[in-house]
Amino acid sequence: MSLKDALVAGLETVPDCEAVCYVDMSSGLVLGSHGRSRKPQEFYDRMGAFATRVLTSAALSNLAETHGGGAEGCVVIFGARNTHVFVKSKTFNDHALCYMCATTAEPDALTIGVMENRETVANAF
Amino acid sequence: MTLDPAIVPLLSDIAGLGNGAGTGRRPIAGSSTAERLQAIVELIAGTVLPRSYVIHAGEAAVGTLTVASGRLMKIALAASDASAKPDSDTREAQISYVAQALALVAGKAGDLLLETNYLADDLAAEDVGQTATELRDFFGATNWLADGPAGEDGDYLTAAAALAVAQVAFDAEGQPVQRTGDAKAAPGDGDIHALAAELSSWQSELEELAGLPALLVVRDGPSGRAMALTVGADPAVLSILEGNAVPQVKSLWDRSQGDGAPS
Repeated sequence: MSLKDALVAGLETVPDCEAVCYVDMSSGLVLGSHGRSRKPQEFYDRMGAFATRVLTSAALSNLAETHGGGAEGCVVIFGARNTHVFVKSKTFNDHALCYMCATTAEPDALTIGVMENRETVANAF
Repeated sequence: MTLDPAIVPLLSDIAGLGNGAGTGRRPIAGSSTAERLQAIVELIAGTVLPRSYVIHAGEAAVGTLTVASGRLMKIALAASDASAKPDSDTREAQISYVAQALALVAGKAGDLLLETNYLADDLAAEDVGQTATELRDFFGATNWLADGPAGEDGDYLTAAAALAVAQVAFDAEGQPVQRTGDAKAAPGDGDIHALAAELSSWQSELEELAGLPALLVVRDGPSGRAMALTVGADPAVLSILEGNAVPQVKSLWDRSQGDGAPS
Protein backbone atom coordinates (compact mmCIF):
# COMPACT_ATOMS: atom_id res chain seq x y z
CA MET A 1 0.00 0.00 0.00
CA SER A 2 1.31 3.45 -0.90
CA LEU A 3 1.35 6.43 1.46
CA LYS A 4 -1.45 7.97 -0.59
CA ASP A 5 -3.60 4.85 -0.22
CA ALA A 6 -2.90 4.77 3.52
CA LEU A 7 -4.00 8.40 3.86
CA VAL A 8 -7.13 7.72 1.82
CA ALA A 9 -7.84 4.82 4.20
CA GLY A 10 -7.52 7.30 7.08
CA LEU A 11 -10.59 9.15 5.88
CA GLU A 12 -12.59 5.98 6.40
CA THR A 13 -10.88 4.74 9.56
CA VAL A 14 -10.98 7.99 11.50
CA PRO A 15 -14.55 9.02 12.35
CA ASP A 16 -15.88 12.20 10.73
CA CYS A 17 -12.46 12.80 9.15
CA GLU A 18 -12.46 15.46 6.44
CA ALA A 19 -8.76 15.82 5.64
CA VAL A 20 -5.52 14.09 6.49
CA CYS A 21 -1.88 14.86 5.77
CA TYR A 22 1.57 13.46 6.49
CA VAL A 23 4.29 15.94 7.33
CA ASP A 24 8.06 15.84 7.73
CA MET A 25 8.47 17.97 10.86
CA SER A 26 12.21 18.54 10.35
CA SER A 27 11.77 20.22 6.94
CA GLY A 28 8.16 21.35 7.30
CA LEU A 29 7.24 19.61 4.03
CA VAL A 30 3.85 17.99 3.63
CA LEU A 31 4.71 14.64 2.03
CA GLY A 32 1.16 13.50 1.33
CA SER A 33 -2.40 14.69 1.80
CA HIS A 34 -5.97 13.78 1.04
CA GLY A 35 -9.33 15.37 1.71
CA ARG A 36 -13.00 14.65 1.14
CA SER A 37 -13.14 17.94 -0.72
CA ARG A 38 -10.38 19.71 -2.59
CA LYS A 39 -8.30 21.92 -0.31
CA PRO A 40 -5.45 24.31 -1.16
CA GLN A 41 -1.89 23.27 -0.34
CA GLU A 42 -1.76 26.18 2.15
CA PHE A 43 -4.41 24.44 4.22
CA TYR A 44 -2.23 21.35 4.63
CA ASP A 45 0.92 23.46 5.13
CA ARG A 46 -0.77 25.33 7.98
CA MET A 47 -2.03 22.14 9.59
CA GLY A 48 1.41 20.51 9.29
CA ALA A 49 3.14 23.59 10.72
CA PHE A 50 0.87 23.69 13.74
CA ALA A 51 1.22 19.94 14.30
CA THR A 52 4.99 20.43 14.31
CA ARG A 53 4.72 23.15 16.95
CA VAL A 54 2.52 21.03 19.18
CA LEU A 55 4.34 17.71 18.78
CA THR A 56 7.77 19.29 19.30
CA SER A 57 6.69 21.38 22.26
CA ALA A 58 9.08 20.55 25.09
CA ALA A 59 6.64 21.79 27.72
CA LEU A 60 3.77 19.63 26.45
CA SER A 61 5.82 16.49 25.79
CA ASN A 62 7.48 16.68 29.23
CA LEU A 63 4.09 16.89 30.89
CA ALA A 64 2.63 14.11 28.74
CA GLU A 65 5.53 11.79 29.45
CA THR A 66 5.51 12.42 33.18
CA HIS A 67 1.85 12.94 34.00
CA GLY A 68 -0.44 11.55 31.30
CA GLY A 69 -0.73 10.76 27.62
CA GLY A 70 2.67 9.24 27.05
CA ALA A 71 5.50 10.14 24.69
CA GLU A 72 3.76 8.45 21.75
CA GLY A 73 0.30 9.72 22.56
CA CYS A 74 -1.84 11.57 20.10
CA VAL A 75 -2.80 15.17 20.63
CA VAL A 76 -6.50 15.81 20.05
CA ILE A 77 -7.68 19.40 19.84
CA PHE A 78 -11.42 19.85 20.17
CA GLY A 79 -11.77 23.35 18.75
CA ALA A 80 -14.81 25.55 18.42
CA ARG A 81 -15.07 24.89 14.66
CA ASN A 82 -13.44 21.50 14.15
CA THR A 83 -11.34 18.80 15.74
CA HIS A 84 -7.69 18.15 14.90
CA VAL A 85 -5.59 15.13 15.81
CA PHE A 86 -1.81 15.05 15.58
CA VAL A 87 0.34 11.99 16.16
CA LYS A 88 3.95 11.14 15.46
CA SER A 89 4.63 8.51 12.80
CA LYS A 90 5.34 5.06 14.14
CA THR A 91 8.19 4.61 11.66
CA PHE A 92 9.92 7.99 11.66
CA ASN A 93 9.99 10.07 14.82
CA ASP A 94 10.23 13.35 12.92
CA HIS A 95 7.22 12.61 10.73
CA ALA A 96 3.64 13.20 11.83
CA LEU A 97 0.08 12.49 10.80
CA CYS A 98 -2.49 15.27 10.98
CA TYR A 99 -6.26 14.81 10.78
CA MET A 100 -9.02 17.36 10.60
CA CYS A 101 -12.41 16.03 11.68
CA ALA A 102 -15.86 17.39 12.40
CA THR A 103 -16.67 18.44 15.96
CA THR A 104 -19.07 15.48 16.20
CA ALA A 105 -16.19 12.96 16.42
CA GLU A 106 -16.25 11.07 19.74
CA PRO A 107 -12.99 10.97 21.74
CA ASP A 108 -12.64 7.18 22.05
CA ALA A 109 -13.58 6.37 18.46
CA LEU A 110 -11.26 9.13 17.29
CA THR A 111 -8.28 7.85 19.26
CA ILE A 112 -8.83 4.26 18.17
CA GLY A 113 -9.30 5.28 14.52
CA VAL A 114 -6.16 7.43 14.49
CA MET A 115 -4.03 4.73 16.12
CA GLU A 116 -5.31 2.22 13.56
CA ASN A 117 -4.53 4.50 10.63
CA ARG A 118 -1.11 5.28 12.11
CA GLU A 119 -0.41 1.54 11.89
CA THR A 120 -1.63 1.46 8.28
CA VAL A 121 0.65 4.35 7.38
CA ALA A 122 3.59 2.65 9.11
CA ASN A 123 3.02 -0.42 6.93
CA ALA A 124 3.15 1.77 3.82
CA PHE A 125 6.89 2.33 4.31
CA MET B 1 -59.32 -18.53 16.66
CA THR B 2 -59.36 -14.76 16.35
CA LEU B 3 -57.90 -12.24 18.74
CA ASP B 4 -59.99 -9.59 20.35
CA PRO B 5 -58.92 -6.38 18.50
CA ALA B 6 -58.53 -4.63 21.85
CA ILE B 7 -55.64 -6.89 22.81
CA VAL B 8 -53.58 -6.19 19.68
CA PRO B 9 -52.21 -2.80 20.83
CA LEU B 10 -51.29 -4.37 24.18
CA LEU B 11 -49.37 -7.18 22.49
CA SER B 12 -47.70 -4.63 20.28
CA ASP B 13 -46.59 -2.64 23.32
CA ILE B 14 -45.15 -5.74 24.92
CA ALA B 15 -43.28 -6.64 21.73
CA GLY B 16 -41.87 -3.14 21.59
CA LEU B 17 -40.49 -3.13 25.10
CA GLY B 18 -37.01 -3.15 23.69
CA ASN B 19 -34.36 -4.65 21.56
CA GLY B 20 -33.73 -7.04 24.35
CA ALA B 21 -37.19 -8.57 24.23
CA GLY B 22 -36.90 -12.29 24.86
CA THR B 23 -33.62 -11.89 26.71
CA GLY B 24 -35.15 -10.34 29.83
CA ARG B 25 -33.61 -6.98 28.98
CA ARG B 26 -35.37 -3.66 28.84
CA PRO B 27 -34.15 -0.33 27.55
CA ILE B 28 -32.81 2.40 29.81
CA ALA B 29 -34.63 5.63 29.03
CA GLY B 30 -32.82 8.57 27.53
CA SER B 31 -30.47 9.26 24.68
CA SER B 32 -28.01 11.61 26.41
CA THR B 33 -25.60 10.74 29.20
CA ALA B 34 -27.48 13.03 31.57
CA GLU B 35 -30.86 11.45 30.84
CA ARG B 36 -29.49 7.95 31.27
CA LEU B 37 -27.72 8.89 34.49
CA GLN B 38 -31.00 10.24 35.75
CA ALA B 39 -32.74 6.97 34.84
CA ILE B 40 -30.06 4.86 36.54
CA VAL B 41 -30.16 6.95 39.71
CA GLU B 42 -33.95 6.63 39.78
CA LEU B 43 -33.58 2.88 39.32
CA ILE B 44 -31.29 2.79 42.36
CA ALA B 45 -33.71 4.94 44.35
CA GLY B 46 -36.58 2.58 43.56
CA THR B 47 -34.80 -0.66 44.38
CA VAL B 48 -35.55 -1.97 47.86
CA LEU B 49 -34.86 -5.70 47.65
CA PRO B 50 -31.36 -6.74 46.55
CA ARG B 51 -30.90 -6.79 42.79
CA SER B 52 -28.04 -7.14 40.39
CA TYR B 53 -28.47 -4.99 37.29
CA VAL B 54 -26.37 -5.81 34.26
CA ILE B 55 -26.24 -2.96 31.76
CA HIS B 56 -25.59 -3.83 28.13
CA ALA B 57 -24.57 -1.56 25.26
CA GLY B 58 -25.59 -3.65 22.27
CA GLU B 59 -24.48 -7.19 23.05
CA ALA B 60 -21.67 -6.22 25.40
CA ALA B 61 -22.14 -6.03 29.16
CA VAL B 62 -20.64 -2.69 30.18
CA GLY B 63 -21.37 -2.66 33.88
CA THR B 64 -22.97 -4.53 36.77
CA LEU B 65 -24.65 -2.70 39.63
CA THR B 66 -25.47 -4.36 42.92
CA VAL B 67 -28.31 -2.41 44.50
CA ALA B 68 -30.35 -2.77 47.68
CA SER B 69 -32.34 -0.52 49.99
CA GLY B 70 -32.09 2.41 47.60
CA ARG B 71 -28.29 2.20 47.69
CA LEU B 72 -25.71 1.35 45.09
CA MET B 73 -23.63 -1.23 46.99
CA LYS B 74 -21.16 -2.05 44.24
CA ILE B 75 -20.39 -1.28 40.62
CA ALA B 76 -18.22 -3.44 38.38
CA LEU B 77 -17.23 -2.23 34.94
CA ALA B 78 -16.22 -4.26 31.90
CA ALA B 79 -12.50 -5.05 32.00
CA SER B 80 -11.72 -2.55 29.22
CA ASP B 81 -13.20 0.29 31.27
CA ALA B 82 -12.08 -0.73 34.74
CA SER B 83 -9.90 1.86 36.39
CA ALA B 84 -7.96 1.82 39.61
CA LYS B 85 -9.99 2.25 42.79
CA PRO B 86 -9.38 5.55 44.56
CA ASP B 87 -6.31 5.64 46.79
CA SER B 88 -8.24 7.48 49.42
CA ASP B 89 -10.99 5.91 51.56
CA THR B 90 -12.76 9.20 52.03
CA ARG B 91 -16.45 9.37 51.21
CA GLU B 92 -15.74 12.08 48.64
CA ALA B 93 -13.17 9.95 46.80
CA GLN B 94 -15.45 6.92 46.79
CA ILE B 95 -18.49 8.75 45.46
CA SER B 96 -16.38 10.47 42.82
CA TYR B 97 -15.14 7.06 41.66
CA VAL B 98 -18.64 5.57 41.62
CA ALA B 99 -20.10 8.59 39.83
CA GLN B 100 -17.39 8.45 37.21
CA ALA B 101 -18.08 4.75 36.65
CA LEU B 102 -21.84 5.37 36.34
CA ALA B 103 -21.26 8.22 33.90
CA LEU B 104 -18.98 6.00 31.85
CA VAL B 105 -21.72 3.37 31.56
CA ALA B 106 -24.40 5.99 30.82
CA GLY B 107 -22.25 7.54 28.13
CA LYS B 108 -21.86 4.38 26.05
CA ALA B 109 -22.87 4.65 22.41
CA GLY B 110 -26.08 3.01 21.22
CA ASP B 111 -29.08 1.79 23.17
CA LEU B 112 -28.53 0.70 26.75
CA LEU B 113 -30.37 -2.39 27.94
CA LEU B 114 -30.96 -3.45 31.51
CA GLU B 115 -31.01 -7.04 32.71
CA THR B 116 -32.30 -7.66 36.22
CA ASN B 117 -31.12 -10.54 38.40
CA TYR B 118 -32.61 -11.29 41.78
CA LEU B 119 -30.28 -11.68 44.73
CA ALA B 120 -30.78 -13.36 48.07
CA ASP B 121 -32.52 -11.13 50.57
CA ASP B 122 -29.68 -11.52 53.06
CA LEU B 123 -27.19 -9.63 50.91
CA ALA B 124 -24.39 -8.77 53.30
CA ALA B 125 -24.42 -5.09 54.08
CA GLU B 126 -20.69 -4.95 54.55
CA ASP B 127 -20.54 -1.64 52.76
CA VAL B 128 -22.85 1.31 53.19
CA GLY B 129 -22.72 2.04 49.48
CA GLN B 130 -24.02 5.27 48.00
CA THR B 131 -27.62 6.35 48.33
CA ALA B 132 -29.51 7.65 45.32
CA THR B 133 -29.70 11.01 47.10
CA GLU B 134 -25.92 11.17 47.49
CA LEU B 135 -25.49 10.37 43.82
CA ARG B 136 -28.10 12.93 42.81
CA ASP B 137 -26.39 15.55 44.95
CA PHE B 138 -23.00 14.73 43.46
CA PHE B 139 -24.21 14.88 39.88
CA GLY B 140 -26.18 18.01 40.69
CA ALA B 141 -23.12 19.71 42.19
CA THR B 142 -21.09 18.87 39.11
CA ASN B 143 -23.99 19.90 36.87
CA TRP B 144 -24.23 16.49 35.16
CA LEU B 145 -27.97 16.19 35.51
CA ALA B 146 -28.81 19.76 34.58
CA ASP B 147 -31.09 20.19 31.61
CA GLY B 148 -29.24 23.06 30.05
CA PRO B 149 -25.64 23.94 29.28
CA ALA B 150 -23.26 24.63 32.13
CA GLY B 151 -22.65 28.06 30.70
CA GLU B 152 -19.48 29.18 32.41
CA ASP B 153 -15.88 28.05 32.37
CA GLY B 154 -16.07 28.03 36.14
CA ASP B 155 -18.52 25.14 35.93
CA TYR B 156 -16.08 23.16 33.81
CA LEU B 157 -13.35 23.82 36.36
CA THR B 158 -15.44 22.39 39.19
CA ALA B 159 -16.95 19.51 37.27
CA ALA B 160 -13.68 18.39 35.68
CA ALA B 161 -11.98 18.48 39.09
CA ALA B 162 -14.41 15.80 40.28
CA LEU B 163 -13.24 13.50 37.47
CA ALA B 164 -9.55 14.33 37.52
CA VAL B 165 -6.82 12.54 39.42
CA ALA B 166 -5.24 15.96 39.80
CA GLN B 167 -5.99 19.36 38.35
CA VAL B 168 -4.32 22.74 38.15
CA ALA B 169 -5.98 25.96 37.01
CA PHE B 170 -3.55 28.70 36.06
CA ASP B 171 -3.57 32.23 34.70
CA ALA B 172 -2.00 33.56 31.50
CA GLU B 173 1.33 34.09 33.29
CA GLY B 174 1.42 30.46 34.40
CA GLN B 175 0.58 31.25 38.00
CA PRO B 176 -1.50 28.42 39.53
CA VAL B 177 -4.78 29.77 40.90
CA GLN B 178 -6.27 26.49 42.08
CA ARG B 179 -4.94 23.00 42.73
CA THR B 180 -7.17 19.98 43.43
CA GLY B 181 -6.72 16.22 43.71
CA ASP B 182 -3.62 14.17 44.30
CA ALA B 183 -0.68 16.55 44.68
CA LYS B 184 1.79 13.80 43.72
CA ALA B 185 0.11 13.35 40.33
CA ALA B 186 0.05 17.06 39.55
CA PRO B 187 2.70 18.99 37.60
CA GLY B 188 4.91 21.44 39.48
CA ASP B 189 4.85 25.21 39.12
CA GLY B 190 7.85 25.19 36.75
CA ASP B 191 6.10 22.85 34.32
CA ILE B 192 2.94 24.93 34.44
CA HIS B 193 4.87 28.12 33.80
CA ALA B 194 6.59 26.60 30.75
CA LEU B 195 3.27 25.33 29.44
CA ALA B 196 1.59 28.72 29.83
CA ALA B 197 4.37 30.31 27.76
CA GLU B 198 3.82 27.75 24.98
CA LEU B 199 0.07 28.27 25.05
CA SER B 200 0.32 32.01 24.60
CA SER B 201 2.51 31.51 21.51
CA TRP B 202 -0.01 29.07 19.97
CA GLN B 203 -3.21 30.97 20.47
CA SER B 204 -3.49 32.88 17.19
CA GLU B 205 -2.57 29.84 15.08
CA LEU B 206 -4.97 27.64 16.97
CA GLU B 207 -7.74 30.22 16.62
CA GLU B 208 -7.22 30.24 12.85
CA LEU B 209 -6.99 26.46 12.57
CA ALA B 210 -9.69 25.12 14.89
CA GLY B 211 -11.31 28.01 16.75
CA LEU B 212 -10.99 29.00 20.39
CA PRO B 213 -11.58 28.16 23.12
CA ALA B 214 -10.42 24.59 22.64
CA LEU B 215 -9.86 21.47 24.68
CA LEU B 216 -6.53 19.77 24.02
CA VAL B 217 -6.22 16.13 25.04
CA VAL B 218 -3.08 13.99 25.03
CA ARG B 219 -3.68 10.24 25.23
CA ASP B 220 -2.33 7.03 23.75
CA GLY B 221 -5.57 5.05 23.85
CA PRO B 222 -8.98 4.84 25.52
CA SER B 223 -7.37 3.71 28.80
CA GLY B 224 -4.26 4.71 30.71
CA ARG B 225 -3.40 8.17 31.95
CA ALA B 226 -4.36 11.16 29.84
CA MET B 227 -4.12 14.90 30.05
CA ALA B 228 -6.76 17.50 29.18
CA LEU B 229 -5.93 21.17 28.79
CA THR B 230 -8.21 24.08 28.02
CA VAL B 231 -6.77 26.67 25.63
CA GLY B 232 -8.17 30.15 25.30
CA ALA B 233 -10.11 29.93 28.56
CA ASP B 234 -9.33 31.98 31.64
CA PRO B 235 -8.09 30.41 33.77
CA ALA B 236 -6.56 27.59 31.74
CA VAL B 237 -7.27 24.19 33.28
CA LEU B 238 -4.91 21.23 33.13
CA SER B 239 -6.51 17.96 34.27
CA ILE B 240 -4.63 14.70 34.77
CA LEU B 241 -7.14 11.94 34.08
CA GLU B 242 -7.62 8.24 33.87
CA GLY B 243 -8.06 7.71 30.13
CA ASN B 244 -11.57 6.35 30.43
CA ALA B 245 -12.71 9.69 31.89
CA VAL B 246 -11.84 11.57 28.69
CA PRO B 247 -15.30 11.20 27.06
CA GLN B 248 -16.97 12.57 30.21
CA VAL B 249 -14.55 15.48 30.40
CA LYS B 250 -15.19 16.21 26.72
CA SER B 251 -18.95 16.20 27.42
CA LEU B 252 -18.45 18.62 30.30
CA TRP B 253 -16.40 20.85 28.04
CA ASP B 254 -19.08 20.83 25.33
CA ARG B 255 -21.69 21.77 27.87
CA SER B 256 -19.60 24.54 29.32
CA GLN B 257 -19.36 25.94 25.80
CA GLY B 258 -23.14 25.88 25.40
CA ASP B 259 -23.44 22.87 23.14
CA GLY B 260 -26.24 21.33 25.15
CA ALA B 261 -26.37 18.14 27.15
CA PRO B 262 -23.48 15.68 27.02
CA SER B 263 -23.73 13.25 24.17
